[in-house]
Amino acid sequence: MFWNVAWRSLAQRKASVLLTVAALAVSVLVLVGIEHLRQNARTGFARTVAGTDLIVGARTGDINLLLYAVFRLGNASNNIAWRSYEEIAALPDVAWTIPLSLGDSHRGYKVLATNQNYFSHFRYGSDQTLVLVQGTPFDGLQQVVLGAEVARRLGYQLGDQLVLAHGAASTSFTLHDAHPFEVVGIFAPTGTPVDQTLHISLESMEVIHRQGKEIPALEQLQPRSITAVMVGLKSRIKVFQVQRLINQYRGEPLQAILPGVALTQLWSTLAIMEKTLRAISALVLVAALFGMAAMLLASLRERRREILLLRTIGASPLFIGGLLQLEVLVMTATAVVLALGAASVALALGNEFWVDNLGLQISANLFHAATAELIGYVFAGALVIGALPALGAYRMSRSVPAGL
Amino acid sequence: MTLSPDSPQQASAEHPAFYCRELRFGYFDKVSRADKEVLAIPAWQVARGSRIFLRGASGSGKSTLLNLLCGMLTPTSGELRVLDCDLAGLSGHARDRFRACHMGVVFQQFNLIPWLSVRDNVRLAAHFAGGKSTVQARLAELAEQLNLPKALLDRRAAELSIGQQQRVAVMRALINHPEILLVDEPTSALDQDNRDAFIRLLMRTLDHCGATLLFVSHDQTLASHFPTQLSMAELNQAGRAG
Repeated sequence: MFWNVAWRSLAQRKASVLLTVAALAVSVLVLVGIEHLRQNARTGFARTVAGTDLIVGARTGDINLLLYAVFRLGNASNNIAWRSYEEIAALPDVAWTIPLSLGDSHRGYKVLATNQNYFSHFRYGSDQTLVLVQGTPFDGLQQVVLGAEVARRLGYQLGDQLVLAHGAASTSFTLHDAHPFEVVGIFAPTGTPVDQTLHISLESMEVIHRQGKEIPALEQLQPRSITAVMVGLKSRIKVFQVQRLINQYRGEPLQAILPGVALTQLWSTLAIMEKTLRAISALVLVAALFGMAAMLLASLRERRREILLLRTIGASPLFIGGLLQLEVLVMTATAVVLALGAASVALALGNEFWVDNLGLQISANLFHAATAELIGYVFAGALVIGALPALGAYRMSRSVPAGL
Repeated sequence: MTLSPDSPQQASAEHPAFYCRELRFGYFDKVSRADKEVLAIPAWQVARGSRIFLRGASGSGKSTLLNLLCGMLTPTSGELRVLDCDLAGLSGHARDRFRACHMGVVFQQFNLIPWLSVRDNVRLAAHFAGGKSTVQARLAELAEQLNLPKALLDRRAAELSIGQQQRVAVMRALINHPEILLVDEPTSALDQDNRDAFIRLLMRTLDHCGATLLFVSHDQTLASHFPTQLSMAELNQAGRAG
């Protein structure tokens, strides 16, 4: 009966109720969406690189090195000499190295020049290696292995020819069109920037940048410099020792970072932004809840006779107050359902955007503990702020009746 | 509070429906900054089963009296017993429950929640009295006595004519087998023909249930339907010396 009365009472004021629910739904959408993106971004970034003990590049900020070497965000300020790379690779504690050379692109996707070690030593997620769904690793010049997204979005298949562009922009005037590449392999999706990358050998990179000359013998195609190096150690205990060694390298200013530490620094830099976003979304919710309370309080005046009638047929003030609270709960629950539905749709549609811009897979599944916790706060807030009109109705129903 | 199962005659003498002694109600008037007495009844009692026509214009204290009788207000001083029960001694919640179980009230207008169906309006009243399982049977019985077609029961109250609404209000008031029916100007929105038909129907329905009726109106032409007549002017001594 209680439920029926509350439901019909809301249905009676459709227009204002629907607008209130819409405002509330938008605020819940913002709250839940931001939290979901934040969490997914964190886990996405964290799983991008695994098993790499050190990342070495030219001296720059820790976070900057991490961003351009691992996430392909931004550009390297300087390169490191091939000789430095060779010396690092020869250090007794170093188990393996992956040289990374960036700078070219293909239709907005970055090109990474590396060597065979990339296929055997690169790890992501929970220590997974890269898997080729089709083809083989590059084995010679002018061969390219595509990340899953590159192949999917641009529709490339094995054997297709493509031309790389100089620089990172999606439209470049300098095309390396004298040296077309052939697709020889395609990686399985990883949910990391690897999916957005085209992989070629260091020698291929060298060839396309020596325009107009004869292609020399393979041994002569050693690059003079590379962008960064990923280093795996024989024993992790030595990590700080090797880091110090590299940082003090005399040949040129180098910098070695621990990816995990740099990632933590990145998060602490972004913490203020995250907190601001959360505070804003919380305030938007509070504003929507106040809007709901205001709508209900305004409706009390026109419901005065209704309330007196209910009192006369025996409703207690508690029933009247409870009725208002129930209406608050019904509106909140409706808004939450709408918001979660809209958020799921938005995440599914926005997936490509996140993948293209950050190389992150944002899960469309909203139903996890963090969302449940937020929804809990939404209901708690609704009950607290909804207590205002409920209290108003309660007090009105206790005041001297004028209707009789 | 027990309701005597004795014969009506005996019950009415020893256990009146209403009993007032030195009943006073006043409030502090903010404009004149003085206590203002609205109602003062030295002594009044109504036997059970009576049907009383109480004539009173607005401002005569009739609203206050009705509010006191059904426990929406509590007296400033004096004694008021309803069905042998001292309402002022009950908690607020118990008073609400007492009103739901033992009294039916019909107003001049706005007797029904307009956006609920007729059936739900009546069931709501039954709900506050504890919601007995016999509600549906009682509802059908009253609908028949009050000439309300079955098809009407599932319409929204707002869709009914004024006359139908007032009859539904009586049905709502009687759903819990109350001992007392308080009626305040129920016919003022009806035309002459409907007015007489309504009163006749009300009386006939009361013949079935035997509730005490207090009918308040300023319309002297209705008085002829009632065996006992009374005016607020006689009853209310407020503002008079002595």
